[in-house]
Amino acid sequence: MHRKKNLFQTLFVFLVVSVILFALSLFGFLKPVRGVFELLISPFQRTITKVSTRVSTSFQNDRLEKLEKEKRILAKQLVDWVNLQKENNALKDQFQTSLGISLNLLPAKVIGAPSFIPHVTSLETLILDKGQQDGVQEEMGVVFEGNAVGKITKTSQRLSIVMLVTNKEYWAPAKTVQTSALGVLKGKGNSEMVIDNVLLSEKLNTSDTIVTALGINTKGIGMPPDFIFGEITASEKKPSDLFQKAQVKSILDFTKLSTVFIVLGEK
Amino acid sequence: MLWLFGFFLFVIVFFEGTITTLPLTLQTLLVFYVLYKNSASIFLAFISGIILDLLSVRLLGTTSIYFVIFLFLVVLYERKFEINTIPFIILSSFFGSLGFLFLFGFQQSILQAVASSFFAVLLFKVFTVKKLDE
Repeated sequence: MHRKKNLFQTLFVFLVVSVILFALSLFGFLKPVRGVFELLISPFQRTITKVSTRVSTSFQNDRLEKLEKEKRILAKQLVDWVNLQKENNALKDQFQTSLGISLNLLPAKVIGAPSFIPHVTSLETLILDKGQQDGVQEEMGVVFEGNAVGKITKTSQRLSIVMLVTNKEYWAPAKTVQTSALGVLKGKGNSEMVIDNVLLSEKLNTSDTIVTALGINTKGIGMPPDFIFGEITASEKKPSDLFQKAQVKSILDFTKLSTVFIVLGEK
Repeated sequence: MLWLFGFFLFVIVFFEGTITTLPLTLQTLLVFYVLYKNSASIFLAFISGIILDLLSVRLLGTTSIYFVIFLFLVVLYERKFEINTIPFIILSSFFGSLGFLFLFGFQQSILQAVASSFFAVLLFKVFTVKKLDE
């Protein structure tokens, strides 16, 4: 009986302390303290992620990895080539000009990649070692080798969480490279995406590349245009529907990312 | 034995905050309390919750509140029924995990809750044998 009373008292004390901590954290009073603790624990996170990635990549084919990297480079070159062609045509027409944008990119190491079964099931988020003190804000885009990785959803003093483009809650305006069809790219989970809300009059070709559309807002936050989401694997077009859609597969393996780049804004 | 459990919990917390979304810390705390039934488990629940919040970029105290309330419910249940049983471990770990995964917005909640229950039962079996050896 006495032991039970002690237990209830202890439970109550720790519950109250937890609630107080939560309230202080909510109003931002614990930011400096949090920063210090994050500095202390992030090396452990980094080590565990590195070891875990090394163990999983030791079972993988080097040749396959090389081919995947070449494919990503070629996909980016294709996008750049199509954009150059469009720029040339626009200049010839003398009706419009397109301005190249120079981006301010912050390299960030991936120190956490939590998933149901590590390196087996799909990833939904990444944890990066850059936070508010490095100028990172929510909604900033994250990219890697010309590919869109995701957007920042949470930040603390020294860490931030990236929602991947394949996450069920992710959506962003997108367009096709070949036909410039505009739509909305939505994550479906399980490393899959779909481009939806595309007008029936537009053409969606299988193997066409989907890239980010529109761009950074007036505050300098967002995903810049022409970063690759993935390739169309199958399209769905029913005359009775208002819009058509297509399945999109990313050409980036998120489980192998060790460094990504946060788009701080335009230079 | 308590030190071994503490060290094991420390490792599990970092695994959960870094490479997996399975609520393994919750299972470890549950098994620890069921076997030892002392205040140390509540203190460990608080500390592990704080560390998990730091690793997962959540508001400090969020996970601790959940862990402490979960243990409170286990203590309440213990007043009327026996908790040192496999069926209790399975059901409490399943529902505790489901609540945790749903609250913090993780995917495939049911599948992960089932996997967590397996982990909890395995842990219970291993530490029960070790405790008997002591």
